Amino acid sequence: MKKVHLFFTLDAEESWINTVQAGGYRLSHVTRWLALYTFTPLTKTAPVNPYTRIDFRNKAMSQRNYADYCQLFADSGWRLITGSRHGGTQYFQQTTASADHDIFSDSQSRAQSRQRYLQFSLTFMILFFMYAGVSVHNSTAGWSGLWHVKSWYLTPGIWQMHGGQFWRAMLIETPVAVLRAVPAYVFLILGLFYLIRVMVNWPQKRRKR
Amino acid sequence: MTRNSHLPLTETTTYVLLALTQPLHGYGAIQRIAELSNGAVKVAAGTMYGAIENLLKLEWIHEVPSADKRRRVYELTAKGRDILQQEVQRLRQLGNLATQVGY
Repeated sequence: MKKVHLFFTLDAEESWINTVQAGGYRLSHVTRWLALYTFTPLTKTAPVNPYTRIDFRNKAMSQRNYADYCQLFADSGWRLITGSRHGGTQYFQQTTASADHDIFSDSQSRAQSRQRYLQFSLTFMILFFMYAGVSVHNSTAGWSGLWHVKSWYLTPGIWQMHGGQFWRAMLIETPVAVLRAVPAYVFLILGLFYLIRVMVNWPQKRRKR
Repeated sequence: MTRNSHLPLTETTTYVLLALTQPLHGYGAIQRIAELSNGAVKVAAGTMYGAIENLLKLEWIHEVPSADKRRRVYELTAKGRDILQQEVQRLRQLGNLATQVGY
């Protein structure tokens, strides 16, 4: 069973996964860039209806460190479903019923992983808005041109052409125009996505340390 | 007496430091803590990993060479032993004080 679902917090994602799993499935793979979750039905003989928990890494790890990280989870009864040593969400699933129900045993360490998620979102928000700014700046039409489709076309006098001549120019230039305009849109959308994530995850009240 | 700004330590940190008075890898430390506390304290994997990361940054523990390629092994540094000593002293004083008032 495949499901696409976009989340703005790790806690919402985690509880959704476990709700789906409670219906007799287990998460078997996550295609992170598509927000695509693959679940497989539990077999009747499955020893556990497992929990899946999410840790978040905002920095890349060396191969050795990542092996050590995964091994610590494996020793504790958690199998890595999907994850990357280059960072991001790491999905761990219980392998035995006797294992702990959570990968965090105090609120501080759980908060730290959520903090890494916020920092990561903040970094990528700034990065994508900068990319958007640069790609708009490099296009001749500027910010107003972003919403003005006609300005994407640079062929002189294209909008005064008629009939076959117009359609030929249109056909030739449309792919180029799209390529010229699309990056700015993509960067803007990604920037907005991370902006929402930052806003949703921003601490409500500052706790004294 | 000026107190170290890192004190008091969290319960998890104190347990991890106590466990790492001998060289252990992450899961070894989890097992050792369970053993020391008669099964009362079970540190979860994510919490242990985070604790080790923090302690390495503070230079209270350091990695020691081991034959196991997949599990890094750690032990207290002099700095770590010193802070643990201070924390235990603090806890003892607190305990003594509680005894004095009848608890």
